[in-house]
Amino acid sequence: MNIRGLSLETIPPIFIPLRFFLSAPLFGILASVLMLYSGADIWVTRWNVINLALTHLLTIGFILMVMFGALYQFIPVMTGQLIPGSKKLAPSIHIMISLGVLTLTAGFLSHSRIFFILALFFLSIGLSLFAGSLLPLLIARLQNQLIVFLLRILYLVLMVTLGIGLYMLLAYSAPSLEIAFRNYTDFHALWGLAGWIVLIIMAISSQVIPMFYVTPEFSRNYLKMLSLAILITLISLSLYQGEYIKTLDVLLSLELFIFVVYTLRLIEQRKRKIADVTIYFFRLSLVSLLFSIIIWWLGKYLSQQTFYFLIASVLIYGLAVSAITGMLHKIPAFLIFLHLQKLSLSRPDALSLVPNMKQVISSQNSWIQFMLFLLSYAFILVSVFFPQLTVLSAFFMLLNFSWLAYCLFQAIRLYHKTRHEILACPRLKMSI
Amino acid sequence: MAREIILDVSELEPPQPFEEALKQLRKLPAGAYLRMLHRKQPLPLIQLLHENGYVVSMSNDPSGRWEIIIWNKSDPVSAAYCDTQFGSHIIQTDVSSSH
Repeated sequence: MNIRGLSLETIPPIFIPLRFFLSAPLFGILASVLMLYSGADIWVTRWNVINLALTHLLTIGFILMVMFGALYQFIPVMTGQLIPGSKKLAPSIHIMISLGVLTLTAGFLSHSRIFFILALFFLSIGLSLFAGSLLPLLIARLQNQLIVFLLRILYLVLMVTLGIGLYMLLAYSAPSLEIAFRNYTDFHALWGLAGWIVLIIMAISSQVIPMFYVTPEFSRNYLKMLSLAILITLISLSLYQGEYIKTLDVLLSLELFIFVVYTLRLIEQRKRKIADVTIYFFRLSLVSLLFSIIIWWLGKYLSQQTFYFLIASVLIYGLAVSAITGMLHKIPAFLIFLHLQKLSLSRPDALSLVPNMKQVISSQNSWIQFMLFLLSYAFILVSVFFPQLTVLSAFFMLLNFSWLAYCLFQAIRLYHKTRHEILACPRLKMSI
Repeated sequence: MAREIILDVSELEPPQPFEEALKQLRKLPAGAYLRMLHRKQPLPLIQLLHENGYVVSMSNDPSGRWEIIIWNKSDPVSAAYCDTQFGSHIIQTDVSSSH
């Protein structure tokens, strides 16, 4: 055991990860309102400013936000150490990212340079602080764990995506620099969607599927090779523009296809054959990845705009938002349970006060979430072809994110109430 | 010799391993220790146990299964026995009673 002698800090203060988890659905709500307001115009061109704002509200405000919270939570559990400086830095990083995505949205909607400059300022600082605090852990000699390997690749891919993004934001902020930023949009989208989002799902799956559903572990070598192959293919696709580019496309889709089939088979082998709703979110996520590969290959039969909208919706909403929504029905409930247990250990009378996970967020509420998600997802995809349904799909998306916010906030209310009750119980020393 | 209580949580989903371990430890009689079988290293549980006066020894077998031995520091019978039997794999961390 090499955790001997280390400062074993595996449970970060609850509001470090929770602040990120709680904010995420609020940005989802904002994205839905924007879509509701825009209506069918959203599908006219991918350069539509509302479209750009909506994409970034979901990718930064929802996906990246939850990813940061999850890393603050899971890195200590996996490595036995908190992310350096997390107690002091996490609140600032959270505020910077929140302000960054809000000013970026305002910038896209108003075309005002001042908002782009502010977004550049907030996002560069927030992202650099997070990247900087994670770096020492990622370059340290940690146990040869699969997740550490995946996180290193994920980190690299995220840095490339964000780097290109910030560079384009610089172009918006300072037009006098005459940066031909549109040239970079496809690379930004490729690294973000086929790289970052896919690798997040891969990293979450490798941890959460064996842990929560008691399946066999992912093959370490297999996922390492696969993630490395995806990275190399992305680099090649970005640097090489020759005649074999189609081969690289085939290679990338094959890599993703193998991941989907492997993971779905693993889920089938689970020992806990319970009808847990989060497993349906995971399946939907993986099927969406499969669906995106099909769209990728049928792309030539679709108009270019339809192709972009369909693939972005499937990857952002279907692949990432689905799995993350499922996780948000499990992880915060687990955290609340864990922290209340911790608090009750030295207070024997408080034992019966600790709710179990299903009481924090009920199965029924999680099922409602899945139904709302499914409905909104189906309507989004259909409205790509029938724009008159856009308002309806935005309405269901709004319901979906509002329900998620409701579930999380009522869980927090329960946490505060129970914590208060536990603290009122007499404390015993050195006893469990 | 101390009495052994075996708890196999290797096929339980979170947070049941955590709950079961605490349930067993709360009713652990004097002179007994817990042998927990798990598919993972339960690091948050170990942190909590350290903070609450328990000693944890942990080892894994080639199949990847973890064996976690837990005893109460203030129970002289189990402490004397477990120190001799499982002392070589005791997890020592800097965490003390910090809450």
